[in-house]
Amino acid sequence: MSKPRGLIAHTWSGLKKDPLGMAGFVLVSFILLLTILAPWLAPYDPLDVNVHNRLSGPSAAHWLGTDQLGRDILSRVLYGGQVALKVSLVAISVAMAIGLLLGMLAGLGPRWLDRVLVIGFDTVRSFPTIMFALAIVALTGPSLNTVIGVIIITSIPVYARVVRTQTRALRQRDFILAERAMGASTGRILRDHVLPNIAAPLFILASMDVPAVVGMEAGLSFLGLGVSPPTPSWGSILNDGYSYLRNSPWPIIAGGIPLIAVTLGFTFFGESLRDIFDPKLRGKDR
Amino acid sequence: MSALLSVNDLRVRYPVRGGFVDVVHGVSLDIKRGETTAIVGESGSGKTTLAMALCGLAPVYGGEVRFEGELLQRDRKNRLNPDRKRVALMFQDPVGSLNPRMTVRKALAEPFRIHKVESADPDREALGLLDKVGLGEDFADRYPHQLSGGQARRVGVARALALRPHLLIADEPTAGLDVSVQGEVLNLLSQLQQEMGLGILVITHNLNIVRHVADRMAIMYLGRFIEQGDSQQIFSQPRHPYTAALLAANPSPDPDAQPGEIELKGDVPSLLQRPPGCEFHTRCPGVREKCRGLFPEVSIDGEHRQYHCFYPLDN
Repeated sequence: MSKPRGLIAHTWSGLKKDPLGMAGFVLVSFILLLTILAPWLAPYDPLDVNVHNRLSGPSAAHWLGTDQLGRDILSRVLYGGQVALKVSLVAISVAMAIGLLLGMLAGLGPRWLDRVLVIGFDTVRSFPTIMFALAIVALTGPSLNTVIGVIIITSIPVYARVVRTQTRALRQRDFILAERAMGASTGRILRDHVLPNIAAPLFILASMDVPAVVGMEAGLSFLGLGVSPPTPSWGSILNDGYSYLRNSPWPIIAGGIPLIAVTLGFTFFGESLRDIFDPKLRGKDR
Repeated sequence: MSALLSVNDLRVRYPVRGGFVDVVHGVSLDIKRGETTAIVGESGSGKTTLAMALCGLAPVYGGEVRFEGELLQRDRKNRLNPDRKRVALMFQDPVGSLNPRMTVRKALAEPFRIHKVESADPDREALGLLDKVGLGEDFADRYPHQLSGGQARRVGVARALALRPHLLIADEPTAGLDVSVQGEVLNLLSQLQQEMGLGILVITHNLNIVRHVADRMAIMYLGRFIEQGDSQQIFSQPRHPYTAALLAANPSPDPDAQPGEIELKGDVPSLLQRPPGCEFHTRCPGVREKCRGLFPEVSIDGEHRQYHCFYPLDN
């Protein structure tokens, strides 16, 4: 990097050199666009029942067929994307914010605080997520907010650990010591010097985390712990399809493809981002 | 005349498994305004730790430090708390001591923002500083990785001197720079020293730099000053055999110069197991029985010339 350029230009030129990453980026943008525009793109109301036309295959009127209640699957998949998007956006940003705070506290605070927080992170991580979700749902009843809550609680340690490690690595770096020698306060060091230097790995982690969160929401909704019927979610579409698999494979296919696309898209994109921003890994496997 | 910085029996010790390690083992030093003092020593002799302790980055275990006559207090973690507007520190690695995500302009504005200097517009000051260290305004929007080592060092000098400190502690100010750039940086420092009446403490292992800039010097071995005094005197008449060996090991540009006669054998002993008696006796070419058992207290020779040796060299 010889001439000055910004973060976005740097990312873009890195993406152009990585076809798989670019494919991921295109896929991600495509999915986001479809999801955001769902209310205008969807040909039918996703909740409209038409029992005369149930479990039909793809046709000109219903591109992906209909489910067991005759609802248009394409519309349900598009609206289901909104649920997935909402859950991942809210859960990841809240988990990232709390993880950032706790991670920086652990990384820069006194040793006893670090110990307490790390034990806390490990305790939360040691629960199997699904069992944890089942326990919470048993207490509160199934709802989308419960799903979001469970994902936040189980994701915080992931972010906090990354932030903690990065902060600890940074705090012995000369430029942080130089700030201390100049008399900068801890808050200033965290805000102006630690945060900008850990932001890139954090966003990479977030983009790689989207498939996991979307998968978790789908999984919990599949089990009936998430969205309540008739709200469409990719998980509940899969569950509906699963019960009628002998009659029609279309609901399963239609619910599964976006999950696969999200996973592939965000993973390729995230890996490409990691290669662009992590100089230690850059150029290693090519 | 009272000293700018007066260090008396300063000690830094760190806990290790099963005990403590004394990294700085009772050093005393006076620095005057407008004077440059150099601390010389091998790697691991405690030079950098001493600098960090003076800037409040390392815990102090004992001793007193006075800055402009004022006794420095220690904080909860036993770190000294100097007036950070008046004491500036420059780190060894010129690029590493700049935040990689901060432009030069912002880095130079930092000191003004940290100390909320009201009279100054930080961004305007930054440009003035760049000019002072001989970098143009077009450097203002560069990031550290877009600077050469020498340019980054100049930015470091500018940042350290931004608030017109009275004392600059420079840890290896020329490390990693090629010789012509080393000269430029040293000349820049001396020029700014004359303008501002700055006291400078230079930490280095490069004796050519000491010869070039230092009024006084101290030679550090295993956390102690084994010899200190006027640098011209020490160069021409080392008293301590270790000093003589260091000077002899320094390559001379004069092709006719005789190579030094004193050669050091062996490694620096571990700080965890300080040799009894004179700590240099394990490597000293002139070691005698007395050195193995007794620690040589300080001998004073002339004005401010001090050394720790029973059998000093006469030359």
